[in-house]
Amino acid sequence: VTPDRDPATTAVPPCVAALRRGDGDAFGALVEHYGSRIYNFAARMCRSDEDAKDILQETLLAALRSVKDFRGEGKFSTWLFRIAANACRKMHRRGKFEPVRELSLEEFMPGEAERARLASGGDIGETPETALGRTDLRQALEAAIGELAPPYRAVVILRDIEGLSTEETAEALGLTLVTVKVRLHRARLFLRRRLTAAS
Amino acid sequence: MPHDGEDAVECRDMFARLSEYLDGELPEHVCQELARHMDGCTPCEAFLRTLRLTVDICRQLPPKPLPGTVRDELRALLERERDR
Repeated sequence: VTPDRDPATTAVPPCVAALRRGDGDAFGALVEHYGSRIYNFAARMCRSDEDAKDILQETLLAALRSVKDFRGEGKFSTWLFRIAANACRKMHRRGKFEPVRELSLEEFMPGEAERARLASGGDIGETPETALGRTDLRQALEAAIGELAPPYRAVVILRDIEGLSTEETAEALGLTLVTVKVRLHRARLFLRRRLTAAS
Repeated sequence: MPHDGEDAVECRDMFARLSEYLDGELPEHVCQELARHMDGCTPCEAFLRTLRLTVDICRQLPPKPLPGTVRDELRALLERERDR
């Protein structure tokens, strides 16, 4: 049973066929190939390992029950992320969450002081290689992702952490391409600001 | 970015499209315009560099390992579901 690694594939992947047959190995493969990605998506969305476990369980069970509905028009992983994203939304609605704070482009546009700092070469202020190795920056980034409102968080997790394309992210979240691009850009600007402050 | 004149308009336009630029989702002629602008605008060029770095760090965030107990519970659950 192989995962759907080829972005160009539109065929039903072998694991789906195996799942439909009730092949015992396919269940293990489902958990092995997709479990970690769905778990990580859910853990970042819900900010709770326990909730992530519940979301993963709900997602894989729902996938198993409705695998016959997967037509292979997109990637199987995108289809799974769609189920997981819906489960996260339901969980957020059940909880006591603050209203979504919309991010505007203007709030991130650098003022004169920041432009001056940028012009003098300062900001995150490192070579990419040094910055990429810094644990404190990674921790600051994880914390900042958690601060984003869920609609922005979901987009940046799928695009920049899970590596989905803009089209796949739109499909997984039921959004238009324009909405994905707008949310992604604002989320990245928010994260950049937090990283700048942390460095 | 609040500075005066034509440059400010260019900076604002560019600012709105930086992610699409990084993702290679803009038409070639727009990419060339942005590249030209950044050649002459140090703050915009530096801003783009730090935005790219932010995305790069995101892409390298390590995944949290799926706990072994969760893996085992899931397999058992899925097998029970299959046998129902």
